[in-house]
Amino acid sequence: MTNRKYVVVFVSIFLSILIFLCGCANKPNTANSVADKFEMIELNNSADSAVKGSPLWKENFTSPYTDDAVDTVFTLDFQNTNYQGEYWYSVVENNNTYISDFYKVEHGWFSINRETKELLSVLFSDYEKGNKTKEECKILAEAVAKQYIDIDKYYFEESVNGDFYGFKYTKLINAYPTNETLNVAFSNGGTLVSFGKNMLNEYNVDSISQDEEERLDELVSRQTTNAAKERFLEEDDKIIETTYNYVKLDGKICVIYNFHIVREIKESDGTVSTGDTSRLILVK
Amino acid sequence: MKKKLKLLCIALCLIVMICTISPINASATAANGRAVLFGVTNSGHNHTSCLTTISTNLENCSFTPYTSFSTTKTVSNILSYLDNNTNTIFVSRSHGYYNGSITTQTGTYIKLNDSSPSVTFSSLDIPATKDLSNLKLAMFIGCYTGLGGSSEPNLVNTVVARGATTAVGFKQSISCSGANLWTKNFFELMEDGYTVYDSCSLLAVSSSFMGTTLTDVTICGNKYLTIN
Repeated sequence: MTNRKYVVVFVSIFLSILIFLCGCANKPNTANSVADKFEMIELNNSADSAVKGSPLWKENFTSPYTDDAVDTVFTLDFQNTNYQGEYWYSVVENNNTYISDFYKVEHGWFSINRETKELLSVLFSDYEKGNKTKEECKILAEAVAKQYIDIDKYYFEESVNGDFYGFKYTKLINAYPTNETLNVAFSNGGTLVSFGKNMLNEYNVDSISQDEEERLDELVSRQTTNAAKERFLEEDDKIIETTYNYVKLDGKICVIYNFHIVREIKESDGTVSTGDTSRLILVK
Repeated sequence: MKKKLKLLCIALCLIVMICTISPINASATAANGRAVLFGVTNSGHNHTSCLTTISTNLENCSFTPYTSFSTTKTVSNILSYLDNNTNTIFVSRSHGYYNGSITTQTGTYIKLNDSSPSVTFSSLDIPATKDLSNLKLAMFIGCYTGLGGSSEPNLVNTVVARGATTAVGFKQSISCSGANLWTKNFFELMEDGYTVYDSCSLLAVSSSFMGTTLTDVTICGNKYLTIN
């Protein structure tokens, strides 16, 4: 009788373990299921090389270049002043998603989105020096920024460089920083020296529909992040920063994950060095 | 009649002399000396195009640009670029890294090729007796070349300690395409007459670079240097 009890207990334990193990084996892997739900494509192997043939790949990715097809003169209306610019160079911007054309003005330059002709950035080097404080310049910067965004919905950072105060507003999704930013900088004399916006026009926070907003939230979630990391990064990679950038491909909103990582490189002579790089993952 | 012929001959001689002298002046090294623009042609990275574009800025500032794009240069080649009385500006565009560890560096270097381990030119390769007072401006456009700032034994600090007037490098890892853009913009501002410090500061708040590691610059020596 006692032996039978032991056998029953033993069999019960054995069955419980078996059921537990089977349960684990059948339990869907969260990362894999999310990875399966979204199509993920690696766009590059380093911060500066996009894979030829990937959806966002364009020529001349890595450096400023001149393009004969661009209008040689462009008149910009910025802060109620007209600036006549002479074409200078072009750059493929923001993880290879659009081209900006730069134009020189007498003291500085500006850039516009080639397709939409929308202002992207200005830099005016003809500035006044003075004694304005950072707080005074912040008020000036806010007045400019408010013309374009609802600053309360953006993460705010400030910096001081020489005679200049820089103010940066970044859109967050699920607390992750995106590449949607607006920068304004003033000299300590109160001159606006720099302005830049990376709004990706129709995708800015005010014009994204409720459905798209939800889809963005879903794309930029902890689960998708983990799934992308698992699939494309190596185990020993140390992630310095993860940022996002959203684009519309074939009418569907997509997210590009930018994992800034540090990876160990083993040299042929046995020495180990570390190098940092960015991996761009497109999630559809 | 003879007098007229004589005057005509003198006038012709003067015209011939002017025509002969002009090309000589044009081909000679410009008033401010030679600017060596050295790019390492690494695979997958563009380390040359920005140097070609800044040639015009330097010419406009009366420097004679001399471009060298290579993967075969050695330490002695780089030393000869730096220490040459004709050369007043040196700009390198390459990969960069540090000797030792990031917190206890013994020097910083630029990589001269793609091989593994690569040939490097380090701050440790510059002899203490080297006189680099010919250099007005040395720029090492690559990762970590100015690691630790102006009190560390990096490339930037070392060339200034050997006599260069001003040197610029970066404290952190930098984006290749961003560095090309930065270099182009920097020399545009320098041509406009801004100081090294003001040019770096202005670029640090420009929308192309704000918030990136390209704002983390080490400037050693006279940061108020102008080249135009």
